[in-house]
Amino acid sequence: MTELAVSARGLSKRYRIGQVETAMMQASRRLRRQEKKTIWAVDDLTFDIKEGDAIAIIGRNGAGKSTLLKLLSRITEPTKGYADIYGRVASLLEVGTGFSPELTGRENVYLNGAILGMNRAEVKRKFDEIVEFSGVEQHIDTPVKWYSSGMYVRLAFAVAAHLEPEILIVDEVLAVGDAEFQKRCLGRMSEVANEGRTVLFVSHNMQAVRRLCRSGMLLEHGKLVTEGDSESVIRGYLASVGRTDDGQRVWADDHVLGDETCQVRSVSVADDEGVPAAAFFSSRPITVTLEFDLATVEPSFTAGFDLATIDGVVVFRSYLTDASDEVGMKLKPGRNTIRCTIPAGLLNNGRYLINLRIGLHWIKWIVYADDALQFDVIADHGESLFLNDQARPGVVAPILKWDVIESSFGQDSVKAPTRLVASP
Amino acid sequence: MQSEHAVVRSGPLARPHRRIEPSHGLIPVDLGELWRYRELLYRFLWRDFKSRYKQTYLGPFWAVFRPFVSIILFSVIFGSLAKISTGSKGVPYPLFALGLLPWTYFSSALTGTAGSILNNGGMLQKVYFPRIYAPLSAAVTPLIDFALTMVIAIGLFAYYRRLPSWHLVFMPVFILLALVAGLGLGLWFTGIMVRYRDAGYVLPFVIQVGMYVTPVVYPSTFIPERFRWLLALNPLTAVIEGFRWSLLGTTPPSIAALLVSSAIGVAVLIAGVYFFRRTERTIVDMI
Repeated sequence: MTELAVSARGLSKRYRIGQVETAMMQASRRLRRQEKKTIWAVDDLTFDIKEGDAIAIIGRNGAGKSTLLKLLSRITEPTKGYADIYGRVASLLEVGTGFSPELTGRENVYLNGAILGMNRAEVKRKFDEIVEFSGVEQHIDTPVKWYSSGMYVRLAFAVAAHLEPEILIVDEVLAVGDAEFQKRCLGRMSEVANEGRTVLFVSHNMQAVRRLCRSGMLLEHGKLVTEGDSESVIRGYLASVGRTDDGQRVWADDHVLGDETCQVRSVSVADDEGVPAAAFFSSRPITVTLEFDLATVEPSFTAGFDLATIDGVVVFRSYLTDASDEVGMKLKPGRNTIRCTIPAGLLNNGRYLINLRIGLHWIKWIVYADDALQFDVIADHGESLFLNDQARPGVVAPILKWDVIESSFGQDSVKAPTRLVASP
Repeated sequence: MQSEHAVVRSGPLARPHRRIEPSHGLIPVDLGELWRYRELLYRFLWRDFKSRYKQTYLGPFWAVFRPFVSIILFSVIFGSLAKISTGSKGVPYPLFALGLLPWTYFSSALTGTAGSILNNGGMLQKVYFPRIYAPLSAAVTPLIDFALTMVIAIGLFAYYRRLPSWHLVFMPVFILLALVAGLGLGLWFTGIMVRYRDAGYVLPFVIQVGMYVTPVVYPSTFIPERFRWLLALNPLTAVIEGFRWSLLGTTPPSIAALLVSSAIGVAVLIAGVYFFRRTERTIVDMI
């Protein structure tokens, strides 16, 4: 028998739009007999979450995900409706909440622990574990203002990772830190979920959602649109964020991908003659074209993608700024089109995903959109009869250079290119 | 597998249940929760104290310096030039002016409390903890500075070759009353300030005027007898007069005035707490 962990009935939150009125604004509004403008950020949500479930909450920016998490973690009160919570809740809407730059790593662990609701004995008991997980042992008594951003984030996550709530609420925290760190966070969260705790997870990273959550809820304009197994919810989400034509995806003005500094217009995959398609032969190069609008050009701006398999394995990540950090200088405010070529003779048979990655290096992600586009590859790049006649394992199928350096005929072995042997 | 867990672990009765819903009317203070989070007070105190004098060459010296200069200034202006009587025999004005120390504490506590929600805005938007710890720690932290400023008192006592009276043991009571008044008034200010930043402009003015309507630089005997009851309505009167009495043995405040002052101070605090409870529900929506 499974118990409920969260049960919401008609949960709603209304926000006023705009700032607090000045006396003048109020007078003029009253003269015009207007009501204050409001918006329902979370609108009449009714759902049940069972104990031990890992639920993904997905939706576009402004769909009400964060507001929902704030309501469930008691950061703000609902306007209407209610939610019953069974169990201790810990929410992780940001890593390192309340970290103070002047305090040492050790002091911040205790401070952050206290803010997250741990008492001193609890933190003390887990202190060594926390420090080990973070990997900043040597600097634990240094003020965190001298930490690198990576160390800072690792220590902060380590504290949160050692909370032992019955219900864990996590917002987009995986968007920070390097890949290795993200993997560890995700691993730790899977552990938490596997321990039978309830996890509510907000992310734009569909790969992470797939790995962590069996079920999900899709929000749009504060309303619950779909709920069910995470695959179908993800499909619903992808359908809502943009339309896909063969080899091309275009974002309309009312479904913007990005923020006020950068908005993606389209992404397409095409063959070397520029014809978009949904499938390619591996014997010819594939071009990936990205169109976006920039408000300003930041020096650390970059755009690119992860090429991933349908199973979520990243084949590689590639950025505009990889070969030279000066390429970024060519970008201008307004519409920019960038293109890269995936060389012929690299990819294997199978379906590949373009996961868009746009951001400011070391600062933040602007777009972290998985599964922006999919295409199929039919491997045909080998001359050899033996290469293409069967499904070959591997994410890529490059043809590497092979040499025969030793062959024998009869009893006498003939050493071929002797230059490989050290001469006396 | 999950259901196994649910069975192995205790049933719903053992798990804490909380209903999240709009609250109405007077919201009770959850003392149990405050107790569970008590570690926060200590952690906030340490954080605020450590960050307070970061990257200063003289560090906590500044806590002492400002009131010290004020005492000298007031001694020159009100003691030597205006020749205000201290109202007690044998108490020179500079000693009398030590009344500035609890006043300085009160005004730091009030200012700190009033800004506590806005100063911790980022954190409040990202995590839940009993909100009252933000103003509470802001009211308690300046006690450290206050303790440091007592160096001035020690110096002046040495200079005048005096010893404090045994009344000194009562001093904590008056400091506590200063805390109660500063926190109480500060809670009102923080609740209003979150919505209307106007309060931020009013506050320095309130403190400035407050110092002159409180017998800080003059004794209460300075006020004509028939208006003196007005002073008792101000809890700070009891704080300052009581502080001076405990330190210098000046005229003690009357028991009646003390009771009235304390009652008003406590009432302001309790009302402040409930007002804060009402605002804290949605305080983050306005930060």
